[in-house]
Amino acid sequence: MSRITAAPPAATDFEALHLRIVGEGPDWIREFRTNARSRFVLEGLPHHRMEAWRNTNIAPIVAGLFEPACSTPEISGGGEGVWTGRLSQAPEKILALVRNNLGSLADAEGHPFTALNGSLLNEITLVVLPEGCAAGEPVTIGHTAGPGNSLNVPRTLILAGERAIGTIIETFEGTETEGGYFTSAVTEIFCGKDTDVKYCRVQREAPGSFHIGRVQARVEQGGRLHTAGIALGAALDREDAGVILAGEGASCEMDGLFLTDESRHVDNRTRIVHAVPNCRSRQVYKGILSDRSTAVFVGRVIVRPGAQHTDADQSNPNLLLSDDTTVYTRPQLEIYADDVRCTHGATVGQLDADALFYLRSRGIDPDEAGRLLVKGFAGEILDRIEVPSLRTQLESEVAGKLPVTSGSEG
Amino acid sequence: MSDQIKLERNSEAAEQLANREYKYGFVTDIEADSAPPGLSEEIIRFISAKKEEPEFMLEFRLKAFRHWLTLEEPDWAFVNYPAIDYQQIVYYSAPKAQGDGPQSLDEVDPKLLETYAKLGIPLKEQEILAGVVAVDAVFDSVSVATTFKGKLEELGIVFCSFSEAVKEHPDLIRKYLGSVVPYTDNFFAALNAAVFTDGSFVYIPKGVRCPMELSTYFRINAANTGQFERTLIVADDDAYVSYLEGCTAPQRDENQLHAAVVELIAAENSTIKYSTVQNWYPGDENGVGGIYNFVTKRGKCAGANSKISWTQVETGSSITWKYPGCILQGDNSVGEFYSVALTNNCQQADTGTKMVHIGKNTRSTIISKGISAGRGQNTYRGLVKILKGADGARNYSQCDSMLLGDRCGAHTFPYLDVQNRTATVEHEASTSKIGEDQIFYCQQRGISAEDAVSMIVNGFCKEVFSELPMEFAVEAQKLLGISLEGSVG
Repeated sequence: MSRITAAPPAATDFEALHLRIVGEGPDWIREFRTNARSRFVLEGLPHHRMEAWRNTNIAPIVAGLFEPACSTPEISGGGEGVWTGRLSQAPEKILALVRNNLGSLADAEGHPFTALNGSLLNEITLVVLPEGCAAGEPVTIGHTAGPGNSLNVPRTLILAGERAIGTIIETFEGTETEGGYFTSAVTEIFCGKDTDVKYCRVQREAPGSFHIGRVQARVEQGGRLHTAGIALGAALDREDAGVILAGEGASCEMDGLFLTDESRHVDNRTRIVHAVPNCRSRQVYKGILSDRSTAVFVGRVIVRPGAQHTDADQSNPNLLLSDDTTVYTRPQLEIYADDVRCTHGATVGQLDADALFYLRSRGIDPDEAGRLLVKGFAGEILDRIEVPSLRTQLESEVAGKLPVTSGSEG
Repeated sequence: MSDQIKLERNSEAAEQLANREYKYGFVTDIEADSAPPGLSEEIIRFISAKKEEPEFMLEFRLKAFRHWLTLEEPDWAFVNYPAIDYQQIVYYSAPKAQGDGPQSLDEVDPKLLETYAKLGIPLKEQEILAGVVAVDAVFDSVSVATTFKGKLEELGIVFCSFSEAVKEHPDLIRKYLGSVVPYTDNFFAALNAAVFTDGSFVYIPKGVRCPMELSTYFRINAANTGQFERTLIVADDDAYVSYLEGCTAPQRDENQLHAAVVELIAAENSTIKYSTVQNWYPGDENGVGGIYNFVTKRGKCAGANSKISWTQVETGSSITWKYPGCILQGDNSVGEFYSVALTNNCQQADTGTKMVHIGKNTRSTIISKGISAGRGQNTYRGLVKILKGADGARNYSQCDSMLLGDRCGAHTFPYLDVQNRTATVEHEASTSKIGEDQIFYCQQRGISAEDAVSMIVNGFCKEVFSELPMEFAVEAQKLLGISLEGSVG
């Protein structure tokens, strides 16, 4: 077992760990790990005095003792023409793609946990949608964390060629019901010209676990990307989601829903870069907080110089269901072009008293009325998930997590 | 003055200072009233002695200075500027006398005069503002102040310079100084507490409604106390005051640091309205020169049902970095912030507000309008914090940006921290430009493109201007027009 520290002595620990857990592997991946490790040492562990970590205290992670574990993702679906699998199963043609693209989007600079993921990298989950391919069924990637105090570093690479269409569902779970494990996950998504990619990420880690995730995507000309991030578990969850709209006419929609209870903490960061003109982005991140939980949302839209005719929306409504919750929300716009339409908004409040009264006047008891309203609030996000089976499942999971007393106190 | 310095300390540093003084030829009576550049305990003792302050003020300054030494200059704002050398700044400088400035209007930069003419400032005032007859201006404004002083005194209102207040009302100063912005607050507040030279003090007694708008328009400009002023306004129970701060005199100095502190205290049922029109010298088209306006302004709604309202129009300064805020401590207290910030050429502004809700049913409203032109960078940064006990707190924020030209930037960074579920917090922001069709429509009706832009921008800022007292509103509208000149082709 070893502590996660960025101090140089840990570097030698990592070396030993690689050999023991991962084995040598091909040269390029060894080099990738070594670079990531240097980067991790250079970055150091973040602390609350850094703007990006101001509201998230990673002390419990720093204090923990973790045993690095091998990733064992389960991959299914896809259908004809879609190549899915692990790095260890990949043919030479696919390997070349991985070599060229791995780490090129999820830059570790300024992201110590991306560096940590890279430095312990063992297995990579690959989804390749070749040019013009239309995946017949959604690709499902299931990551199950190792037992006990494991340190998991799942890594996923999604490559969509020109005009490819596909849906990818990535889930994170733990076997332990009360796991103290730590998952540091990185996913990179490349959307080529005129692609249509849907990516849904469901985090339902064990209650006592720590999850730090990163999704980084790039959308080329005319491509469309829809992401949905649903955070349901973990004691501490930090999600960094970034999209670069790199080709004209590209668009992305990002949906997020986070439910927190007990003393859980969820921190969502988004960063959309409009690098070229005529792109569109839309973000809706919704939070439902109860008990003593805290939530953070920091969303930034950057419109680079010359990215005219950008159309960007961002909103973060939060629902507070108990007296001891805290929410920090920072929707941010950074604009360097004049002919753009950008809006953002954030709201924090409790259930609408009028709506509750309306429902109760129709004979619905307060608890049920509250539940209905919260369900409606979450519904906006869940309704946009286009895979019926997943949507139904999430709806019942969300309903099961809603606090019962919400309405009577409102 | 040099004699005084030598008498007070014999250290090596003092000798250096004395030498430096010599080097720059501080020999005439006028120069005798300014300190050599640099910051040290000696300088602070010198300022305090110069101002004949009581012991507690010197202690306050020294404590602040020692604390300042432990601080690092913050860098989180969205602005860029070369590092400031705090040892190159002159911390005490008496009013610029005739010898310093131009002798007649003929010597004044014609660009400046053009600006005044457009502002509609009469010739006499133009002279004052240009610093041609600075001494007269001081004279003028003093007499103006004294005219009303009698009337104000009848009501028990204290309105005087900070130095005067320290001497005449030490108890009030001791009680309130640093109670809203303690010297430990931030880097620039600590610096200000150590070296501030003057400012204004206002005290409105219980139940008094100040019959006129109090203003520092002339005094500050004319006195040219410039860099480190400190304003303290106290409204006792049921009092009302409207205060205007005008910085409309363009300064010609290069990259001058202006680190002021403003503290407002509103007791039960009282109201303080604070309006600012800031038009410090913004630097030239290439960003050379201009004022660094790093100001800490904060009001405390200490009593129940009190209200503090900030209105600011920021068109000047090469860099503006300030967040007039309200601490809403009393139950049902109200905080308001109305702002127009304009950045043209190479100006940068990182401004907004802080609304800290502590009391029950506290309410705050934030309306911010940012206009960017040229290569200007305009950032709104505002904190709304609802503490756990602030049941029923309400906030509404609206931040609109307008971009003129494709090389400027407009940024919005709101911070909403909510710890109470009965609170309602809303933030909205939008970004827009002036439509070509809008300009075309105006031109069609014989309005020049420039006037059209000015008109549209003024419409965009209407919600804020309507909060300004009449004469300021008119001035602000004209100022916007002038500041935007040349930004639209």
